[in-house]
Amino acid sequence: MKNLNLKVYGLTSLQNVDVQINGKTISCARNEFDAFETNFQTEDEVVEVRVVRNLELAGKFWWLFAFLTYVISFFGIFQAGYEKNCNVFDCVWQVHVQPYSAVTLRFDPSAVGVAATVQANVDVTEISNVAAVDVKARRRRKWLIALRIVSFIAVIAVIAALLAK
Amino acid sequence: MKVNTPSPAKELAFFGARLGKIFFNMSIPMLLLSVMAVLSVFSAILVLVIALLIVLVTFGTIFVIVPDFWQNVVDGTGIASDITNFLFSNGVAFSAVTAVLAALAVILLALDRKQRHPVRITFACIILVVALFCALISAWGNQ
Repeated sequence: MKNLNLKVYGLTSLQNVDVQINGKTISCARNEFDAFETNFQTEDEVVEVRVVRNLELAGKFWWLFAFLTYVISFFGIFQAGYEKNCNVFDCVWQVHVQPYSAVTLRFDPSAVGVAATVQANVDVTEISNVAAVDVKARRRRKWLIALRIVSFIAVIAVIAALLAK
Repeated sequence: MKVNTPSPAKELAFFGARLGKIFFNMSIPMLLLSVMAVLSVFSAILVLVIALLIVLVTFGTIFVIVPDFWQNVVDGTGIASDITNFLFSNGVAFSAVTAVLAALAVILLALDRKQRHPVRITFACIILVVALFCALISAWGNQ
């Protein structure tokens, strides 16, 4: 049985991030050094490690969920803010696993270009390692903020008009 | 680079966590209303106490400075009484809504597997307990 110890640095949370090994999302625990760590056991010679960052506003049904939360939050007044960082990455590496393999990935969530640097005691083949800004998600976020501001002003105006009567 | 689109299941998970945060945000002003409903019985007394303090501090000269001072005090207690009636008669409803919002927030935030929300969950539990307490007092007072 071969063991792969995977550590991921540089991410504040795994809310928008999926860590996958051989296509299966695995859970990682935060260790004392603020890294997300997991131990994966396998009989395979090569495993595929994938780290992908999804944005809430990049989904197919973003408009439906945005509308529902806008209504439920009383026209956006009680709405929680959307994430400001609209950088996304979809990184894939092939790790040639040994009896004890240690792979450390260091991400910079605000970086554009290379998403992560890799340190390992085994051979790692990089398939993809690119970060980019999701322009659509960023634009949608700005529109939703503007809508929230306009709604807030409209609600204040309506309350003021009702009180003045 | 092709942007990765989250799956519908993932979008639903995002939506659940967001709803939890919204319900938590809504439970805070509702809790304020619930507590005000419980404390509103003291509002008329508070107006009279403040008026008495003004009379004492000014050695009674307030009646000369503001000729209709006492009428203003009576009007003030009347307004306070109207607010008290509204708040106290709806106190159970306010507290019930607060408790429901806080409970939903706890459930939805606890179900979020990707991110922990210890502060929100803790405060939501406290809000839930206080809301239930206010509901009991309001229900007892409305008997």
